[in-house]
Amino acid sequence: MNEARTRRRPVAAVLLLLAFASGILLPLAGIAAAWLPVLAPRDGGVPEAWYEFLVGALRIMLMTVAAIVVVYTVRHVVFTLNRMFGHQRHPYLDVDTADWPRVVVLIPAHDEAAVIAHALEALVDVDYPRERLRIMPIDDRSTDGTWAIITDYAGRHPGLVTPLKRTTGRPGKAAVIRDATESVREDVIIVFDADYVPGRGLIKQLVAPFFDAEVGAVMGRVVPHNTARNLLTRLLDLERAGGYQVDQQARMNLRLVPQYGGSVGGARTSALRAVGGWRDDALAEDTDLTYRLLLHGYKTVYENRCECYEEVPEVWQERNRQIMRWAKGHNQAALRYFVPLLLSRRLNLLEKIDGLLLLGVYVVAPLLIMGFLCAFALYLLGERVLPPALGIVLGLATFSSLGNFAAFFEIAAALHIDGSRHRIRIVPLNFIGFLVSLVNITRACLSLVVEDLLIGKELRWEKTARYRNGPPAS
Amino acid sequence: MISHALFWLFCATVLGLPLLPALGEWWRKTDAAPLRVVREQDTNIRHFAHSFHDHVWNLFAAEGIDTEAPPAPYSGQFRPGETFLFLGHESRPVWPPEVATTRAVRDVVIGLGDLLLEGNLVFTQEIYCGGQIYAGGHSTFRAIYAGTDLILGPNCVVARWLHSQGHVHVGPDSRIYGRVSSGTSITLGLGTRFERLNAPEIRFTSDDAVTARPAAGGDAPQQWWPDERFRALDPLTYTTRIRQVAVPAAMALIVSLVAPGELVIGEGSQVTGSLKANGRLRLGANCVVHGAIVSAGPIEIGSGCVIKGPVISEESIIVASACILGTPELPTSVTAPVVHVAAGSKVCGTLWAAREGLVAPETAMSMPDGKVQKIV
Repeated sequence: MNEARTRRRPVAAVLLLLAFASGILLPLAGIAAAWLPVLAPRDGGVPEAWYEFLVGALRIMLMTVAAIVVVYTVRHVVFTLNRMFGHQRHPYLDVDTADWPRVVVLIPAHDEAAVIAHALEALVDVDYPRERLRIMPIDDRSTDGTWAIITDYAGRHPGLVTPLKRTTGRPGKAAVIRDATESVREDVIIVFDADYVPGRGLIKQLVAPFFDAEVGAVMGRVVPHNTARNLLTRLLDLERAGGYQVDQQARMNLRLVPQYGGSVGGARTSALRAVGGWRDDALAEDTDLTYRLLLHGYKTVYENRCECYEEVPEVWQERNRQIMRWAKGHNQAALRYFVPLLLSRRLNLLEKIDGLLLLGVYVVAPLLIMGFLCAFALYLLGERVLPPALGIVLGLATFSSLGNFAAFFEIAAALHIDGSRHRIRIVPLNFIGFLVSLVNITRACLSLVVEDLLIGKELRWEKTARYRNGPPAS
Repeated sequence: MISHALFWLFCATVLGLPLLPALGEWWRKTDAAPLRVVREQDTNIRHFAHSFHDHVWNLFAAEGIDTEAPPAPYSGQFRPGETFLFLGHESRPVWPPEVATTRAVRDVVIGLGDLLLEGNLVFTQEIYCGGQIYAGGHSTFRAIYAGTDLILGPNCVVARWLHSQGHVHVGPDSRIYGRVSSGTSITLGLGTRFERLNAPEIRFTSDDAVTARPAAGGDAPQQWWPDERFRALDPLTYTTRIRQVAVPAAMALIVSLVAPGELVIGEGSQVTGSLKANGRLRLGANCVVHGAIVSAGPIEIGSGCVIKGPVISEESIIVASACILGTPELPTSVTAPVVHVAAGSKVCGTLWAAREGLVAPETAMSMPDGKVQKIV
């Protein structure tokens, strides 16, 4: 078996570690200085210059974090207001009749016996022209009954379902779709996870944007179907609603950078090949592809009405693993594409700003923790952090974001647009999810720096657990 | 001590109050079902017509109506408040007496044969017609389902939808809100406003002869290839940073072109690929485009053009006379908030004007310099 390792970047790792360390250690030093008289300058414990340096550094750090938080707050509010009151872009929604291009639907599957039949059943029933459609379930070393289910469907739908079995090569979704893509001759590649259940018209809706020669990838909306299971699934339902219904659609409306999400979406085959295909050394191959297409000159399109059911994690451990995987992969992409994006001459200013902010979303969590620590240390040291007027403004904005109010606003708007009735009441409990994510994303950031960039640890793809007992209701 | 306790109580109340509805909803799960994602009515233009057809046939089953030997006309109700007028094979309905004064028919009208409806009437409910339906002008309809042809006189208004298994003809200066679908063809008269149309052939005005004049001139078009100012997105798609891209007349493009701003294709050109503009997209007369035309701005299509792929604009599409969009064998979609089509053009497939569709007067388009003039 080939080994997939992240490329070691010792210099970047050391710099990031230093930033991390200073972000944590300096506030801790401040807290210690406040609590331990021996460290306070007035007791003669440490030189005055050191104390002034410490307070100055903490102030700068806190102001920097506050400024970043303000930027993200404004971003959330702009997106929400745009989604509620702005012009909504759905330019490809009404394309229902056309000479449709040839499409292959890839379904990577590893031990998906519990769910894959539902996905295949839904896909063989879609209203896409049969002669233009191929469904390729790819069994990656399953040990349950996945392959038997796939071959059963292939036998019943010859030519339409053309399975692929992998027994060697790198594990993981990115490697699976990379291998499968090598044999693809179709114009468009659509990717579904094995637990997704598409509606009849979904393939046409996802393919329609590819009539636009500038579109390189398309992304649909993911809707959890196991929402009622427990508090976690309900919170994830809110989070998905905010992320897709408001965040992604607003970026589409404003011609910014909608993100390809890896499933319920796809790419133009020629565009994919033009940017080097799928990267199997990327933990978030979807984010990675979004940025490579963007830098090459292609657009990613978000189709809010292309809705598809998925399963969300039902236990917190699974959710923690998922958010850590996303954070790590996303930050990996941030390291790769931050500078190229900044220097690109093909993008307009708004695309650059949004692209950079999108790259940075998983860096905000550790920054927030640093901000908390800095504010606490300065409070204990009895320092006035900012001039009063600026302090009020930044304080309010910081509170809005530290309390995740802007994101809550986004979620509440999404629920309103979706026509939900009472689930908006549960929004305040999303604070729990926010705190859990804060910790796990910070852990993922540290893990990326230490394990991947410094040591070059082998990449591991962790499969998301499935909980389904029967097909989701539609 | 008391003041401290009150302070903490106050803080706990302020923090806890917003959580009470949340905790209640968590406990009771009154709105925990997954979001419904099946939206058949959005994607299937015939959804409402088929639903109504099924509704009527369920009534036949429930009432024991033999459609081959139907009973005499009678009134009844689907359910309280939803009345119907069953006409059987009567082609000239006898309305309730109050219609003579109110000019309004408030029942669902169900006929199994052909129907002849006088003009100047308001139908507040749907009409089901098993055969042909001829309706006089100046009438208002909620929706009509016709088993064969559906012919409306001038100045009619349709509030929701029209569907016919045969031909649909809408008289001039009518207003059709909602959907019109046909298994054969749709013809819209001059001045008619529309929203969403779907048929193998959609004609504008009753002229049967719709002829495109592709690639005028005897000489074979000269091949046009992107120069050094263009960059390949992929081997067959080129883009550029030039804000205004103009391709000269009578050229053959074998690539797809993406323009960051305005894109003008000179008359008589042939495009094998697709065209995309982020500003205005102008197509000179007699062009042939085998791919799609997409623009973030307005699209103006000169007379006599033939376009085989979808035409998509985020602002408006103006189609001059004698154009053919799509083919009966390979129907296409034409969609924009505003679509104005000149009389004499033809669309095969779906045409959706989300805000305003109009059959405009035929206007010759003069484009001596390759520029397209607005036709309305």
